[in-house]
Amino acid sequence: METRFGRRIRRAKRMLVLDLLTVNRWTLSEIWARTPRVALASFLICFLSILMAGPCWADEAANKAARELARKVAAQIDHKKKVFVEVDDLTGALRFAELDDAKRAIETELRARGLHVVPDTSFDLKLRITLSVDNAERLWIADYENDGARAALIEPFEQPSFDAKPWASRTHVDRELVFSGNAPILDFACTNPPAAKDCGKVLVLYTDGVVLMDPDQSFPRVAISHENAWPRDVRGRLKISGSDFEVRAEGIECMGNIGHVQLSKCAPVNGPWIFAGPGEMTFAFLAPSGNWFQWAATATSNAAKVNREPFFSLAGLEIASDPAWIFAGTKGETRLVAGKNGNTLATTSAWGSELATVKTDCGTGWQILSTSRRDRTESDSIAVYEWVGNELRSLSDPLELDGTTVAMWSAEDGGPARAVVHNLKTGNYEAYLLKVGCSQ
Amino acid sequence: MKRTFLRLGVLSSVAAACLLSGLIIAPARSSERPLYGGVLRVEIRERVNSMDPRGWNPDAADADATERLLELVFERLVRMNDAGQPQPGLAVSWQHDANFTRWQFQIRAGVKFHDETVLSSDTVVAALQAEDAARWNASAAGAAVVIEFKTARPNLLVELATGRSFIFRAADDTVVGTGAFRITDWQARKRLELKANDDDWAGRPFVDRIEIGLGVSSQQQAVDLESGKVDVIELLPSLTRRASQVSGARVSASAPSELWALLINPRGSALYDSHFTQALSLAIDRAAIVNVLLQRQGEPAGSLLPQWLSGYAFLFPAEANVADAKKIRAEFSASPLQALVYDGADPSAALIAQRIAVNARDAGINLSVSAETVASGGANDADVRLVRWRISAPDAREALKTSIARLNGAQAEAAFLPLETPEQRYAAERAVLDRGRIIPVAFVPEIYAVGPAVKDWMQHRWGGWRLEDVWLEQKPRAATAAGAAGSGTGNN
Repeated sequence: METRFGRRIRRAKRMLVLDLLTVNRWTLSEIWARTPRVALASFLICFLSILMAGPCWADEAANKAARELARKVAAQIDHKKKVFVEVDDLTGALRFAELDDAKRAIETELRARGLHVVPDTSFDLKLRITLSVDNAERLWIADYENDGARAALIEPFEQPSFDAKPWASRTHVDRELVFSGNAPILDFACTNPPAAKDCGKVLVLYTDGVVLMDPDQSFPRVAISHENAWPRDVRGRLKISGSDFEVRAEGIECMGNIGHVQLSKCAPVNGPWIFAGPGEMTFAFLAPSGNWFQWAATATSNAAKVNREPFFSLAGLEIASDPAWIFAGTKGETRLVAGKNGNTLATTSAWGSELATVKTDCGTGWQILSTSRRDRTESDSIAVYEWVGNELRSLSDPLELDGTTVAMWSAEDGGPARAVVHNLKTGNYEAYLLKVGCSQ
Repeated sequence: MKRTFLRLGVLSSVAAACLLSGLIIAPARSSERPLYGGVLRVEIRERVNSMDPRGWNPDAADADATERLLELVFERLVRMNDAGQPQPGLAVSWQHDANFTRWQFQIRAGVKFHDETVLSSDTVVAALQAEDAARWNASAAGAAVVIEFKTARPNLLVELATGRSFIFRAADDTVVGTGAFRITDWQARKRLELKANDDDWAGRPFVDRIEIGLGVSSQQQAVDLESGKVDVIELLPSLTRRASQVSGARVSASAPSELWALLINPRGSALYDSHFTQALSLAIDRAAIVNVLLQRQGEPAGSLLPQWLSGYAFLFPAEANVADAKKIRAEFSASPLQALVYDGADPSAALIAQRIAVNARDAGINLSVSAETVASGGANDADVRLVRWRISAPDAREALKTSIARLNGAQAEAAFLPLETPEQRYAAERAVLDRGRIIPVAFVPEIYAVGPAVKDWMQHRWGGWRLEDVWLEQKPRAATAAGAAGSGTGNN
């Protein structure tokens, strides 16, 4: 007969499963904040598991390797000796509780192999187990003194996989990690519309091709080949419209359908890049062997004259229902110009070279996202601005990134902007959707 | 009480004002998307003799500096990333048979040498065989190169990514490469001038030119950086503080990539006993050497490989223990080690050698210290020599193999030692160190001071330059008050 306590545990487990279905890669703090049920149930289950079934240790690779090391140690040590185990972590990755779990797992394995493990200082042999890391993998290392000689046994195992977690944001901009990989990404697109709950499948533009991240279709791809060498700082953009997509990478254009990516057609083109803003389009040529754009023309109902300073990035927005453009010039000045007459509304030299615009229900309806002025050896940040009255006003503290923003593009419909961040800690390229919140 | 509050109020107002003014007048940080153009000026201490990869000797005194320069002009089939994993270079892909005796490399298409000749599998074969015909049994197979060996070469990719495996084209008296920069002026031991390779397959570098001054003393380099005459200088640990005070300059250090060590020459004394080496090792106060002489730029070494590369270096203790050193010393009636020599051209070496001699004396070991100069031809019969070895590759196996091979009479041993797993490498290091032919002293990083105009300065984890990715801020931009505060002001 099931006890009341047992029913509670079962219920907690069921609720946890239900909640986990709705949780999509939240941070621990978010889980605590948003779903106390999940957090509480996780804690309870973990705690009970420790009591009843041994340690609850999330890092399966580390756990497995520790047990393997214990097996190797057991094969080397005289089983008559009383063994004291001490566990240390040189990587700084384990918490105290996890260290305890590791110690327990190793001790359990040693006991299972017939060793006499003692918890105090009445030992014959002190076994020091250390979690270390070299430049390629993690290592569990056991070292001990055996009959006057130092001995060491080492069990290598894989590095932890990149933990793809979005920010827990208290500010107006939030990011959603949709893809991460170690090859440089130029741009990406979600196959689901912006209003959808998730990104769907991800189409990724690399320097050498476009890949649909769909394991069911074996990651269909189309190669982008080019005869001439491309610049070191390659520019590329991906647009998706329904199931069709369009790629522009340097002087190559590809057209395709996400259902048949491998059948996409790529060809060299000489024409300008098209930047679509609300009510206007700007045409700009990418500098040959360069990484900046030169204005060609802006097509508007009023045939507006615009500032012609070369730029790294450009985004359209509306100011009082009129079209406007903001661009990060190559000389370090970001300029906001009115679409109607091309007049400069504001300049600033404090922003980075990547910017995008997002249409929201907040404030004036259009927000500007900009990177910071840091070079690619430093971690970047993204700040949100708005043109209010007669000035560009910062809406929030900058959101710090783990790396440098190598590309940022606006969505043509004013939806979430796309950013590619080169994570300086992991070396990975991370594709983020940037959404401006509306909690003001 | 009122007075205290008033004082607190004034103080907090001043602090707030300072903070605010700091925010407003702080100079804007540089842009992040690279700009093209400009001349990068670099100075180094070493006098490089040749820019011909065929003559490069990895064991020569100027080997490291020469490799730095050669890598700007010449490329290899394979590159290494920071994790020590092989990446495509002039070869775009590769495959091998089950025994690792036959390797096939697909050569990158469309690559041109600096003389406009197209890279082909034939030129790759010619370059490898010119490097060492006995080492490379290579042949062209269409757009691929096949390399065959009699015994397994599982680590071939690391070999091809390091050392002498440059791909070049030799015609008449000239040797040309495919690298990011081409040579425009070369004055041996004095100066190298390079121009960006517009046809670089990986994209044209951002700077137009690089000027490298050779044989410039450390003091002169510091002066030149301060006066804005150069953009990048090598930095001795003792000059780190001075360089960091140069306005806008920053100090960049790799992971510890060089080993300072004492080589013990057993031929120097018939009384030699490896047990005595242990006494000398225990006498050395490595922490003081690192903290004081090297200005905390490095870490004490008890092993041949640094912790970041091996993961097990902590198992080799590096702490001094003078009492134990004395005990061991007392077992010997006379010291079998009497003379310590160091490289007279290296300013840091003198300081470290002197400190080691002082430490040794505390344990009852008297070492006479002298500089070894080019003129003296090297004192081969010295009992102890202070050496500085660069980690040869970000691959623990290859780096350890090279280090062991550098020890007297250990070349053959290094070739056959099993070094595949961390456990095997640990055992090999332990055996080598127990033999008492080498005493590790300290691991030091490569340190550079980089001027304010230099952007995207990045070093490999194990040292080396990546000048093809560097760009220069051509005009310093003044920050506007509004801009620095994070907003712009309308001006219409």
